[in-house]
Amino acid sequence: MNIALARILLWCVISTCSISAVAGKPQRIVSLSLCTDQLLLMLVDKQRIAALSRLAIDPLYSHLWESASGLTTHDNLAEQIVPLNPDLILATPFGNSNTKHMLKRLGHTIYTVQTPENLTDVENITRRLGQVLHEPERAEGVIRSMYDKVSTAQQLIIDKPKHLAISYGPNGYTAGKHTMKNEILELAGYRNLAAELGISYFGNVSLETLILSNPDAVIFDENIPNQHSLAQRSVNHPALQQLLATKQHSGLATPYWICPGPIAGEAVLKLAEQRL
Amino acid sequence: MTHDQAAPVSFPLLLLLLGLGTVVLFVVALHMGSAHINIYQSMLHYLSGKTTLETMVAIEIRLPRVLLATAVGATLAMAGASLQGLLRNPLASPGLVGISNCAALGAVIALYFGLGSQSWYAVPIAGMLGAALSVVLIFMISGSNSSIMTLLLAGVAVNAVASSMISLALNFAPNPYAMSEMVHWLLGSLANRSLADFQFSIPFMFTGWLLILNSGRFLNALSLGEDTAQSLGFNLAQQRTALVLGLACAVGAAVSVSGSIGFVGLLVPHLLRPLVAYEPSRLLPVSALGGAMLVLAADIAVQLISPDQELKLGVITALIGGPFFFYLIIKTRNSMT
Repeated sequence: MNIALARILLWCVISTCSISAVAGKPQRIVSLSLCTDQLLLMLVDKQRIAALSRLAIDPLYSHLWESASGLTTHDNLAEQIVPLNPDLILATPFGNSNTKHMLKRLGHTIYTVQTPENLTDVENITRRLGQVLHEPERAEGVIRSMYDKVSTAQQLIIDKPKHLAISYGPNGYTAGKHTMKNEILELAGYRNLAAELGISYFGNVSLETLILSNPDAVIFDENIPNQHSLAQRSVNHPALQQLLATKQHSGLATPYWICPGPIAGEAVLKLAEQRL
Repeated sequence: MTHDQAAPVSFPLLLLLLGLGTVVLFVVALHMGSAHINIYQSMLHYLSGKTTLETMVAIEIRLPRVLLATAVGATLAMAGASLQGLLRNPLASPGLVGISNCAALGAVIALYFGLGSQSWYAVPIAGMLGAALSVVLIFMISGSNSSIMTLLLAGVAVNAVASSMISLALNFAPNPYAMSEMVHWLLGSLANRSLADFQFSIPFMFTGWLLILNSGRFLNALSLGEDTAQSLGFNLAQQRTALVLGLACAVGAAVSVSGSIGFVGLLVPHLLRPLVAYEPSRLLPVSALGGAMLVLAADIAVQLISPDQELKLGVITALIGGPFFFYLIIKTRNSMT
């Protein structure tokens, strides 16, 4: 039992060490999740990408699906990734833990990209990834363009009141205080109702609470056409429709904010442009 | 009606008490929810044509939830009572023999593949087809007078197939939320239903109730054996068909709005049967009221435990029903072989 544990620990140590030991410019990079897919597409030339996740080419989720088209995609199965012989694998802290574990065991280098909660986080994470990928200038460019968009947005909302808004998706899914969505809402000149209701990360706000809180704006994860699910029914609920008849409700397409990252700049700009 | 002497309370009094209980629980459930609102005031406002945020919550969110809890509870319990009579098997109930899950399967297919948005009746009709299919299947497998064991095993098989087909259908549904909604269909919930859901399902449930209640005398006769029932002038095939249609209508429509809420149809008739002196026809209306009470109480419990609706209604009924099921098995184990 103890030996097994020690072995696992040893593996962890080795794999962590190997991240810092990335020698030279990685040329066959694999990304395991949509969020790292998009960062990778922004920071390196396409010929250095060995494979992206399936969602990267899906226009319903991926902001950069056009630039991703034509690239190899995988379904997060180690047996698809290993034959590509990647020299660097990008992953997020959550999900795919079996695949990540397997790839580590097989001696692959995995770099974990942390999840940002605000623009400063995005800046730091992008800059660090730029170094890992040997593309520091492109990283700076991405960061600059994000801040540029945010300041353009701030000009647009400079005399707008601080309205109460909520991001609302099927099943009452919403984003609280320590999330990038909260940062995006605040930068677009809103107060986030979900944060004020005490939600820290992601959570659900019931229709009853939403309606009695009477927000000025409801921002939908306006995404997938022809949706048939119970989740969608809660968004189409007559009570919510009645509330919205008197309110501003707008949508922000899923690809703008499904992944916390530099795309936040565009998300803020889109929201600011829609503001009354 | 010699059985009447064995009943501890008279039938009208029992109906009155259960009816009162249902009304009380209905009113209490209306007060339960994640938002604090004044229900009476909002109702008055609504009646006087004023629309406030509170009336929107009360009329569009609370009222449909509580109405559906009542109707679905009544349906499931009455269906359980009539199934137990029809199959002459004390462990028959829509959940255990797989009718609920088959109805859910029908609803899932209709909803997630877009039929539901084309016509309002597609989802309940599909639910009813699923329910009808499973009643016929169960009847064919276990016959009209099978051992408890055969029926339960048939139920296990039907349930297993139906729930894995639900998972399969949701896997292929063109929808990112479909997978997470498996829980809804397999456990049951009334969160975020609208008045439209109630309007679409109540005509079918009501038709089903009438058909089931109408076969009360047949179930009485059947409890004396098929031959006796026949000699009393009942056309077995015709009566059974009517009852199966009623069951399919009511359970199919109920499950297509609420998912499959377990154990109501098992628990309620069993608890109430001694109070009507084991008379099947009287058990039907009494079970309906008892079922409404049980689901309303479960709904109140859900609202108390987690008002933001993360806990499914079926979790509560299973927590009550599961141990009771154990008790029933122990009680009936002598006849299980």
